[in-house]
Amino acid sequence: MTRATAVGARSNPVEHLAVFGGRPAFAEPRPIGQLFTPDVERFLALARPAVEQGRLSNGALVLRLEQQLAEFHGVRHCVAVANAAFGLTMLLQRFGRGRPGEVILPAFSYRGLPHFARIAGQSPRFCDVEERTHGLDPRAVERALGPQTSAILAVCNYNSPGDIDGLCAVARAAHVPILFDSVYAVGASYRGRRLGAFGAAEVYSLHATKLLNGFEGGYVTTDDGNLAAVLRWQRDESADAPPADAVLGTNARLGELHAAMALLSLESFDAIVSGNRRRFAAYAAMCARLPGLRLVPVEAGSNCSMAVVDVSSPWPLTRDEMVTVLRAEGAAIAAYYSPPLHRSVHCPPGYDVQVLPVAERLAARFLQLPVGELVSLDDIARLGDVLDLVARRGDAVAARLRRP
Amino acid sequence: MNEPMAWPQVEEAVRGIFARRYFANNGPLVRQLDAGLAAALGVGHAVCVTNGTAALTLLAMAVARSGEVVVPPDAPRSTIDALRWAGLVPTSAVSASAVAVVDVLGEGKVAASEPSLPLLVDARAVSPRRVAGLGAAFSLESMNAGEGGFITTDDAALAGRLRTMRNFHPSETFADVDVRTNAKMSEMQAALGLIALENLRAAR
Repeated sequence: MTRATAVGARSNPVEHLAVFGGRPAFAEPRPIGQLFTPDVERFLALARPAVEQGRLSNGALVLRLEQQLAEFHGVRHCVAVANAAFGLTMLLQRFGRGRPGEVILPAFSYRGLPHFARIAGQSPRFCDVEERTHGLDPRAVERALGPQTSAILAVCNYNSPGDIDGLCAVARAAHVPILFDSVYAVGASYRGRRLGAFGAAEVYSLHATKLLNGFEGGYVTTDDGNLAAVLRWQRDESADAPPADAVLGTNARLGELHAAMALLSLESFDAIVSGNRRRFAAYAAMCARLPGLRLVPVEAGSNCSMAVVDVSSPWPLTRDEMVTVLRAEGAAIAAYYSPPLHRSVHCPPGYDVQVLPVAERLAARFLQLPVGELVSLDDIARLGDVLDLVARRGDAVAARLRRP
Repeated sequence: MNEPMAWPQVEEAVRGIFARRYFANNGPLVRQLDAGLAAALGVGHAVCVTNGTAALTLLAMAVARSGEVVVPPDAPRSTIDALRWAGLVPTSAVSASAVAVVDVLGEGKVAASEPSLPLLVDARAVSPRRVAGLGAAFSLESMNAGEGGFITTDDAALAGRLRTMRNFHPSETFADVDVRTNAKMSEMQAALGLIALENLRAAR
């Protein structure tokens, strides 16, 4: 049954929207994460020796994963960690060299970033981003740099790695280390080279909602052998003397069963990305017929792990109204990176908030659509039916939503 | 080394996780382990995190974000560093700027006593038990369950801060906190923890 026939059966078609009491398009929520699930028998076969030998940590599976990820990214060193937050925090602590300082980071990004800077003993300094890549704007970084800067934390997004050359040039000129949070960009390339070895280090995630599912986990890639040694010392809570001044150790080890899961995900990398691209193409076709909804384009080589739409005129609803309407339909969607970090609860108290126009504009308009293994092409068609109805009856939907 | 876990229990738990496709983010097994540990140890709250050292850092961070913390004179580096990550300055003498006292269990290491300060316990090296103090950090490794840890406390407000601080999820926000991080325990870790807890109960 198509939605069009269902709509025709009622006197007021907008009542078919779940937000007004109609039946939701999806009985089970459709998520915004990858949730790749490998074959359970293969996982059990990999996990069993680790369990039976009582070797749940510090074992062969983590070593194999590190080796395969280093090959995948074309880097000399990969250090697996308990999650990406540990990787970022350990690097920022290392670059802080035991002194308080500032970490330059994008205002339009993941809410964890300012917290990681602070736990590393540093203060976040929010910078504006580029309209097209959503990554740090090198000119904004240049203006924010100073003697207080301890590191630049740039983000490679799912749609684009950003201006890596421009950012690295600014960092080099200022003698400040730059690292990349490449969590959403796994597999993407910049100027013909797969991400992994840019800047001092790159950090990736193995969280279930990310492209490579290791239950939870992360890893750092780098060509710098000394930095890799520092990271391993930080991660392994070693009794040996620290390899550098003022570095702090912790336990950031990735468990063996998590590594087993990640190994199976990595093996399926191509299939996962192909599935994402099919869904992305379906969303692109859907948006092409809906004036005011623009699917944010991705650069060639993107893993298409997200689908984000830019909601603007003549679309009849605001971005936030879209969140309300589509959540009611069972789409577990979210506003994308909104509010921007400098205007959010994640901004430290007392921070001198400046206007960052691009970040503020993007944060007001972007909507993240359902993606991942639990979203079928049929699901996208159903979502398209809902949006067709909104487009056709826009004035009525908007009026009813805004009724006091 | 302790006895490894029985494979059939692990296999059953894995099949459950794969069937639910709920792998992380404070899933049903983490909630079950939080509740099971609290009940088994007779404490008000248990908050599971990715490992015991993260538990100690998070506990310290939830109590204070600056100031000195009194530790035993021969405290191990991993204790010292875990407290430094929280933004605290470990010292072996009680001073006016001290905000807490930390005892380290299992190695006979006791900090200078100061009853006016909150007592935190680094209990990573001992098997889970009820201990005196505001809060204690434990490791699942002491239960032979691989990476994993948890904090125990009878203080509901502290538990709410810890549950907020261990992740960034808006629906897992129970308190106003200064900093948050990702210290989440996965469903796979929680599954191993639940099996270890069951074995512990059976052994008693």
